[in-house]
Amino acid sequence: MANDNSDLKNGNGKRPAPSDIAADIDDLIQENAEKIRVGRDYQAVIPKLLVLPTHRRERLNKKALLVWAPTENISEVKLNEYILLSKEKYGYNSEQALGMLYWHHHDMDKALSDLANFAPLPDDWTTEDKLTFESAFNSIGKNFLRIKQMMPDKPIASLVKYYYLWKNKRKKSSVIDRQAKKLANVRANENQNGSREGSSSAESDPDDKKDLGEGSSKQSCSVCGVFVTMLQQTPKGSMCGTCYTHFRRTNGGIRPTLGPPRPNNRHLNVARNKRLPPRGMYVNHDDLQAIASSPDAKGDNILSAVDDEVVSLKCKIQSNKQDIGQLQKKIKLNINEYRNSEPISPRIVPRWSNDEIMLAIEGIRRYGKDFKAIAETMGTKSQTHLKTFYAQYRKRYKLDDLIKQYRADQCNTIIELSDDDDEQVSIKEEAPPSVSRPTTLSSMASGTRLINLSLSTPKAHQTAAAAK
Amino acid sequence: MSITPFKKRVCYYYDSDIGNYYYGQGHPMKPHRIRMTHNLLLNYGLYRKMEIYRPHKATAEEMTKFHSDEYIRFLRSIRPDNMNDYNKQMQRFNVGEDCPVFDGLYEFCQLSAGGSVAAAVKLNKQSADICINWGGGLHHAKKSEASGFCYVNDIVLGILELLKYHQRVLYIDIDVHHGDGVEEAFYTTDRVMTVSFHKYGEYFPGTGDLRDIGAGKGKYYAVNIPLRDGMDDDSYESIFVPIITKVMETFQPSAVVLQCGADSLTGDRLGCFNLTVKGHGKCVEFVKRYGLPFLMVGGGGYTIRNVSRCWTYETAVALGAEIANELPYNDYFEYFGPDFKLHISPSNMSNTNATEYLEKIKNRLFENLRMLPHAPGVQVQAIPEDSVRHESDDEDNVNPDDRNPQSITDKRIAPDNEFSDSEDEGMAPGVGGGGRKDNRSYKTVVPARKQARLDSNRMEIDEPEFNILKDEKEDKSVSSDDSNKKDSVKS
Repeated sequence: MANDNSDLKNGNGKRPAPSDIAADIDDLIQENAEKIRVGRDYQAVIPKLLVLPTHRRERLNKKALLVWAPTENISEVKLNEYILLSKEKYGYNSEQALGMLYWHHHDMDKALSDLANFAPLPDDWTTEDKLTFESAFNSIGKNFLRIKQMMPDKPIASLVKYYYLWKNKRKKSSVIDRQAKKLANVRANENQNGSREGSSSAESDPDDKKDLGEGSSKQSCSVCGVFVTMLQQTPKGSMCGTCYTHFRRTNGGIRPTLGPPRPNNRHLNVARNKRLPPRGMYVNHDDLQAIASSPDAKGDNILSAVDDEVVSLKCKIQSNKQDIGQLQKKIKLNINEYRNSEPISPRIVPRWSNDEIMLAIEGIRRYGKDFKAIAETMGTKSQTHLKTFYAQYRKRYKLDDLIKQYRADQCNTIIELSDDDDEQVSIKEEAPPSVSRPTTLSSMASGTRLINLSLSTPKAHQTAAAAK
Repeated sequence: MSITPFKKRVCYYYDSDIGNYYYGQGHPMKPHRIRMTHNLLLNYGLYRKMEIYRPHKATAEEMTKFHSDEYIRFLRSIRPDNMNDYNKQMQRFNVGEDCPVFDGLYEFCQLSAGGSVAAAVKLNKQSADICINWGGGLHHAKKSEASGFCYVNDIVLGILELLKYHQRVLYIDIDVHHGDGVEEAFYTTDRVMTVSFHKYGEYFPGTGDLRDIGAGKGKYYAVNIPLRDGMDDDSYESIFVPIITKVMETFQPSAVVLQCGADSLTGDRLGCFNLTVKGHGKCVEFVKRYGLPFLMVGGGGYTIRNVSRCWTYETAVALGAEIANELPYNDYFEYFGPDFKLHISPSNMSNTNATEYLEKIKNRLFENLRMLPHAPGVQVQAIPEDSVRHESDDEDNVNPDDRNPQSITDKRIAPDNEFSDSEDEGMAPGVGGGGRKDNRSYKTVVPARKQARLDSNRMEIDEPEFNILKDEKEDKSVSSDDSNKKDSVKS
């Protein structure tokens, strides 16, 4: 890439790297074509460092337009309300609404009163435009230059913008597509078993009427989705006549159903496979009639209102999900706090909690009179605490028996428990279940019970160890 | 000087037109990803936490601060409908295949470069801590050549702007591709250190060998970290953190530019690394901790849903804001299915970068960095005379009548003064419209009342005290840096 232009602006001035440096390195660069090139045609001219008093800095030209700056005078809640209002009343998006607020120097009242004066233009894409775009896109593809030839009044920027939004929606409908297909397949199987009659609610979808013709008792082919009265049963699902012939002739081949691309064929696909709306979707009969009977403007209004509703519900879902996520995070954090604080700084508290009593009893069973070891395991009691505990509860919890047991274990001799020891055994058995109960519970549940789980696990381990 | 001492002042540069440029059918580079990022930022509520700027379109004069006149003239005149007249030049400037001629090509370059230059100017004015331009980061563009989807090198232009007020500028590149355009532009200077982490070996653009270390005065001021396929978060951190720590120690830059190319993420259409959004964002977090004037730009990234996830997260990191893993509903919500989450999981691809390999690279680079003189001084003889002329040119363009009030409004002394800044940069209320106003026309917008207030502000300015305040602030930032460094070493 030798650039031999002599009038390079950057080459004219005095350059930071004298030419002898370039020559110096020249032989280095030759050895490999894919090396960084050195020379006046490749390097940038480094500007002089300006050591200026601070105020000169401030004189630098502004090179950008400030459209929003954060403020601390308006609470988050109020800001959200403002954005919502400007959106619902005047169709602003949040960026435009914030721009307006900033223009009025964060004066909420002024901005609110001014909103009406600058309501953004409604989307300038008419239904015809959208249809033209779709059919153009289906036949041409993503060649916006050629699409523009079919839609000369739209700048390419606008086409690209619409394309990305529309692509989004198309994906949406393909989800429904899949769902509809799935439902159709399920239904076909059910029909095969004779467990279910054809749906009677087919008239709920106006598109279906075209395909269905007069009857609603027809069944759909599992391959091409065509509605027919006679279905041939095959190992690969029930099929219409054409598909069945193909199936027989090709020894079990499925008839390819993807035809040449037609404009709007995605609509047909949706309709063809759909007899019932997907689960959870309800169609208002009045709205449908309005759409079908009145000129398209009214129908569009109903549809766009429903669309808006869907969007706002989705917004709500996502923000709820975010809240849930935040709460879950909080729970986890709380657990970690607890976990960390326990081993690092075990606070010695004189009061005995039930858990601690149980721990102490288990400790004695395990370590005998080694109070130091028990105190270390517990962490929340000192050696002296345990000594007084032993003295105090010796009789009540039959601690001596435990120590006996401990000694017996030590000697590796097994002492058969007599009937008299029942009481002691009951104490021993009482302890583990009460400790392990939360564990089993929490294993079934999740969420808030997580706390129980994590709190009980260390103890559960100890009791398990003690039981050995 | 700043209102909130603990939070960084973040400025964000975005032009709503930038998403509308289209490279061509099947081309992996999609400016639309910048709009997707923007939409996520808006719906996450991060938008309202930053200063939002609409950058001016960089002029040909600004772009020729780096690029050759001829090349810029060519970019300005070429269009899809007159391509055939330019066959020879297209070949010479490498425009046509990877870098196609598309509708609005020149404007796209202007917006991308305008954002980075404006961001650099903002940092020079010291009225922001972090500036973000996701529309920039086109690091392959050469002085007189397009390359790798890049036409105008906004990063070089931004760094040149920073160099007017910063002795040393550090450039870090975490794109999966080598940042060859920036490295080449500053290959022979010791005032810019370029550090690039990239896949090397039978991969575009082919440069970025470990042994490429700069030339002439710039020897040892180019740092290349060649990596293999499948880099994961842990390996990346294990090499990024020690090298950047060392570079900061030895080079001691006064400003940092980070190219956040998102093609190093897992599942990228062109990339071959296995980073998650978190791992990628950690680099931003780490660099941010040094508290230096910080310019973040975009770059590569060809699985656009992940690109917008990544840059949204990194904007949140810059702001120091926590954002939920669940994505908010947005205009392009369906792109993020099926999970609609912010964070992504790595794939099960194997990491072909052995620990020993990374260790070897690291030690080799440490050896090179040891060759640096500790914090190089000003190279007085290297100062080109013509850049002085450029600077005075800038000032001559300013209407002398405007100069005083403007310079005063820029000074941020009391929080109250924050708003006065808006008055001359404010946008026209025509929502969605409102072109940039130059200094001349702004004057007609400002009502007389405000003019009076600005004048009264002038009386209150106490110059020496102002400087002292600034020094204190710098001292603080230095001390906090030290503690940060220690923390990072521990971790």
